[in-house]
Amino acid sequence: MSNFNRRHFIKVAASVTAVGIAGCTTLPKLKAEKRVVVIGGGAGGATAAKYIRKNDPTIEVTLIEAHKYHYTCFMSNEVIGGERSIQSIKFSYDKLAGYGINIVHDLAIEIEPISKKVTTRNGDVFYYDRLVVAPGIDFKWNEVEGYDPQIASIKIPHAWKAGSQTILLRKQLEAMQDGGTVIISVPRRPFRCHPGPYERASLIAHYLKTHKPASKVLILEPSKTFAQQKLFVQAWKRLYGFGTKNSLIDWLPAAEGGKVSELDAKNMIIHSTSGEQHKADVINLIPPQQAGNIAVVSDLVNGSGWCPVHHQTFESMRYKDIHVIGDASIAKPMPKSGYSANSQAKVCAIAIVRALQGKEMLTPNFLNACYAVLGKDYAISVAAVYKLENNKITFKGAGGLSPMDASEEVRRRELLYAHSWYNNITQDIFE
Amino acid sequence: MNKFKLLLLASLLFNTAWASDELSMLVDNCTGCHGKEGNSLGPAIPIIASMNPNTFVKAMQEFKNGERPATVMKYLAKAYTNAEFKQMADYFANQKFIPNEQIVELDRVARGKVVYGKYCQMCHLKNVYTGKGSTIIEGQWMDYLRLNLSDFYTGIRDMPRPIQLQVQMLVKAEGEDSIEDIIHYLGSVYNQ
Ligand SMILES: Cc1cc2nc3c(=O)[nH]c(=O)nc-3n(C[C@H](O)[C@H](O)[C@H](O)COP(=O)(O)OP(=O)(O)OC[C@H]3O[C@@H](n4cnc5c(N)ncnc54)[C@H](O)[C@@H]3O)c2cc1C
Ligand code: HEC
Ligand code: HEC
Repeated sequence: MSNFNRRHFIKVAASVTAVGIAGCTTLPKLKAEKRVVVIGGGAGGATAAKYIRKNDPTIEVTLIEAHKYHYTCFMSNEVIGGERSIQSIKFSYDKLAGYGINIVHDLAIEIEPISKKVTTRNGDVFYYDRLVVAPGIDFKWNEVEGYDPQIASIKIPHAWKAGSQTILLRKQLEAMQDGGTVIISVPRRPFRCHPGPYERASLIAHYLKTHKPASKVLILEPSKTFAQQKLFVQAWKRLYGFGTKNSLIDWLPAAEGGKVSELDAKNMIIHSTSGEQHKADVINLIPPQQAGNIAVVSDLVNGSGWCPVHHQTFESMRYKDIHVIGDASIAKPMPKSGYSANSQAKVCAIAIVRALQGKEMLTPNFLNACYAVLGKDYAISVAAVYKLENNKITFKGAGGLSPMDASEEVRRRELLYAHSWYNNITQDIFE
Repeated sequence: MNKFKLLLLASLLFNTAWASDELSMLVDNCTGCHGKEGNSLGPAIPIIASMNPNTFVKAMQEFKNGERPATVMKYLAKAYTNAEFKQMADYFANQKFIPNEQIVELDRVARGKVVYGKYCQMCHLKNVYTGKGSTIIEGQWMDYLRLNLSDFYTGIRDMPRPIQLQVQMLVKAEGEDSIEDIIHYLGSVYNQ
């Protein structure tokens, strides 16, 4: 083991001793506590940690999160469009600590499913009875030639994890001359938040409309169609002249050069698989995705790069006592969204608490709702409840999209509701 | 029943509410939009904590049947049975209503208070346990009140006949703007 340094050794020794003492002591106060470790403090992991403590305060919960603050991807497109501050999507873990969750800011680098322990980059070791893995996504960097994490961090942002990437893209838009072109390159599916790139295109167009009206957004699409296409196109026609000569948004499907093969970052050119070249002033290249690295290196993924789980409990199909929730898991037909992750986390919390108490799991149900903000006083939504049938998450017809041709008033209401949703869900996750 | 017994009852109900995983599975999915224990942080999704349980069930049934105009609720309500509506209703009815401070115009508040007392208060009593009321509207989010009163007024949302008459009388006697005055008053009730 290459990272088995002295510090690491001492930590392991220390925690083994601690367990040993707790195990053989007769003091009633030191009864053997159940331990849950959660990796990742985003929409899924933070919710799971909180609800496990809420459901059974005798369970010891440790949340391992790489960053001191979490920036939500949801509403980050409003930051990119200049409609909200980066501070307003930033959350600390102070309030979660109030639930008695042990918060550790470190990167989990190894899971050992047999000895049931997690090792972090600092060399700390955490033993668990149950483990929740909620690392979100990571990128498949090798699929677009010329693109790598280094270039992403300074010049060609993906902004598909929020924070410094969000700020970088926003600054580039502010610095751009009027008359410029902004490219949004959409990855192949599945990826985090399928409507996200089109919401982003809309809010960038909204910014350009008032500040740089001779500019435009060019969306490069690797397939033929996209999520909620009709609703987006209707909004773009109403708000941004879509389909006219002066449209603020252009959309190129695969057949028209939308499928990206190579990035020439130096000359700000994107090459398509069919030979077209697209030159731009700002490039937002969103790479193809898979489950967060820790899930990949811990063998929790299958050939698709995502983690198969039992839908009743979100326990991994590959390793016992490990649950995977949120974007990293395969939960189709639920989309990879913040609301899905939050809802799965609550089911997972009940499953874990009941398992540790020796109780049978119930039949769960799940909910997802996503709002997309498309411009001034304009939002659309999708909402659905999912049930479990034959051990699979199933959509039974209780759900749907905002209707086509709705009035301005309805679209305005959905924007008010979208902001309400954001206030409430972030409280549910982080407070 | 004296105050102490009521409190005790409420806390018993509250505790059983949290003790049951079955119930959590139903109501915890609402939190992402309606807030902790139904206390939405706004600005427009309504607070449903302390909502009269009969009105709650009625609202959910109307959403499910498509009788009440809605954006998302008309889809979500389809997932549940009447028995589940009842369980949810009882849970939310037993949660404390926690309103937030809102920005109001004081002259409107003063005018609104008078007309509200004259035309609305008799039905919208603060005490939702009387079974007469609707949602608590004193302290509700102003944007939500605005949307619903506008739907009542334009007829998009069906209004029970007695309320309709009352609102018509109000508008006739005091003018349309008095509705906005009432909204400011309702929004101010819990500001301190
Ligand atoms: C532009 C955009 C817009 C979106 N809009 C919406 C929306 O409107 N509504 C909606 O519901 N969803 C939306 N989403 C999707 C939503 O952001 C994700 O689906 C959601 O965040 C998934 O939650 P998660 O817990 O799986 O992952 P995340 O929220 O990404 O959390 C993962 C956490 O794990 C940490 N982590 C990862 N690996 C490790 C490790 N090894 N050790 C320690 N910590 C680790 C990360 O630092 C991170 O904090 C949007 C996404 C994008 C990109
Ligand atoms: C996606 C966000 C969202 C979710 C999730 C959601 N609601 Fe709603 N709720 C709304 C909105 C928005 C309204 C206003 C009506 C509409 O537009 O659908 C509303 C209205 C209501 C009302 C009417 C309140 C009144 O004053 O008349 C009730 C009751 C209600 N919801 C209950 C629930 C319950 C129970 C759940 C969980 C099963 C739930 N809601 C989940 C957004 C949501
Ligand atoms: C006759 C009794 C009565 C009068 C008078 C009355 N209301 Fe109501 N109100 C109700 C009832 C009952 C409901 C619930 C309606 C339903 O469920 O369809 C309601 C619903 C509402 C709602 C919607 C609440 C929600 O969450 O959906 C608002 C807002 C409202 N009333 C405001 C007013 C105002 C303002 C007035 C005075 C102009 C008024 N009402 C007068 C009985 C009354």
